Amino acid sequence: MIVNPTVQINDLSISQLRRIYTMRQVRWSNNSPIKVFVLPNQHPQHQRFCKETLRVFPYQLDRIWHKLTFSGLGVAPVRVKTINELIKSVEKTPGAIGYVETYNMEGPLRVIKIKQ
Amino acid sequence: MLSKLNSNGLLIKMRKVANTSIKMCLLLLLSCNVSKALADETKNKLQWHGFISQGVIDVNGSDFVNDDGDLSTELTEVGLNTNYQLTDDLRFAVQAVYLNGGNRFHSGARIDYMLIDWSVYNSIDWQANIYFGRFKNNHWLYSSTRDVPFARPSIVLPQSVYFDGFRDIAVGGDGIAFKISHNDDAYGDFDFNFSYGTSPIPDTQQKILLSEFALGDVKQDIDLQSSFYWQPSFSQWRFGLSLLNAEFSYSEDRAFDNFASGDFTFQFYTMNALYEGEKWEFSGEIYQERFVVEGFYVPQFHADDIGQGYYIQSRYKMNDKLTFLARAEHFFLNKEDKKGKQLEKNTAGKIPGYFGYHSDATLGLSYDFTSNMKLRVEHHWVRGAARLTPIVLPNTQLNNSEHWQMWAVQLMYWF
Repeated sequence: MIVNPTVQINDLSISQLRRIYTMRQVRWSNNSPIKVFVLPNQHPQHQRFCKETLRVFPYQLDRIWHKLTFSGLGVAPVRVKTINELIKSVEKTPGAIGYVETYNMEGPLRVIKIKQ
Repeated sequence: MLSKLNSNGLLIKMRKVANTSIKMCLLLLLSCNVSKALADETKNKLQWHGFISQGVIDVNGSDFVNDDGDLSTELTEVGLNTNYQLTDDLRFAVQAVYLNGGNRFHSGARIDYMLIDWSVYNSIDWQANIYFGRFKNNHWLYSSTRDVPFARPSIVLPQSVYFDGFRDIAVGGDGIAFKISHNDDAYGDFDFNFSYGTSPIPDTQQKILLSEFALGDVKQDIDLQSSFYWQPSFSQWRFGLSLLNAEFSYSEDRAFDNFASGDFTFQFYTMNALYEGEKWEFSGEIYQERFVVEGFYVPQFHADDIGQGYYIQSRYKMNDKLTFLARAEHFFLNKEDKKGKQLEKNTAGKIPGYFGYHSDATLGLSYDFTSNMKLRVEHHWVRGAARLTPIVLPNTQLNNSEHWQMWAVQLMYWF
């Protein structure tokens, strides 16, 4: 997982990550807003992230996000088209979180471990 | 000498111009950076989304969509919404939709929701939000996205719960709503929703409900709803229940009216379950409704009927693009008169017994071309006329068949 340098955490559990991606946790522990970035639903990296990391099916997240977006109940993650766009969005957005399979550790973003 | 002076003056002038230009450039660069930062900040706070869909629908044997039974293009749904984060705790959201479903509901543009969402409390385990304004019904499985074609399971939803004749009343309300969510690692996710408000009833909706012969005015006096959902920790199941109490009053037209003033009470209790597996998805809702009428037909009239019904639905995801749907539903207007014999007897045969029930067997499929474009096809085999409009004065001439069928194709795009 990659986060904006403003996010002061070192690791996340799978259940915390699921809460963040199902928009059931919308603030970090210091009360700053969480901004979630995702790739298109059919993007292979999005499919792998849902199934292997979050252990949910992409269509389940879609149902939750569509409901939030089109009923006024809340805000869904921001969809970006490419991995590069995702990295750039997380770089310039305070409180942002995203996923990439490979990231240059010398880049400006913080890399967060997932506690199993 | 003169030329030297001139050239010196020119140099000074050039320097001044250069200095001014540099300052202007710096100012411009600074303002560009500021406006870019502002644009980025606005981009973070403002979101736009929308959808557009068009289909064809053909109904044989009822006036569900149109009176002549011809193939119809009255299957249009268009929506545009925006969402702006005013402060960390306050958010503004609005959605406008244009709908055309023929006889199914009032056609035209409307404000679907327009609300201020106040995030009252937020922690890792708890979220509490209060919504002021026009909100969507968030209590049943598909109620909040019933008009969003790609976010519901079929083109036409199970009519016993999502009756299009009640759409404008059931879709939401003007008032106040709140939602409390709790997450627990051991026990799972809990959601409690509550809403209190009323819905405006347009003239077309009144005609759909009461027929064109009701010349007075109907208004909703109260709509109180609550619901509770529970998803056990890391489970693929989710369970819910909901309660509704709505009251309406009809004021007869003083000059002339075919009906008398009256009051209606509608109560609706549902239980639902949803299973989401990798390939299979199952869902169902079981419910009971109570409909009380005081007056209206004649001043002393009184009726208190309890209706019941359920639907079960399965979806099979063949792959990332292709999904199949199968659904069965049954609904009885009066649980003591499941075959409608009493209804037929009470109306001296004017209303056939099949207006007392509604059953629908549905098969369908959907194909996702991209992450934002989908095609749906479905066929319904229906028995009974209890979910056809108008409700209080059924159209027995157009709906003279107990069995009727419908198929539809709809293409949808969203962003």
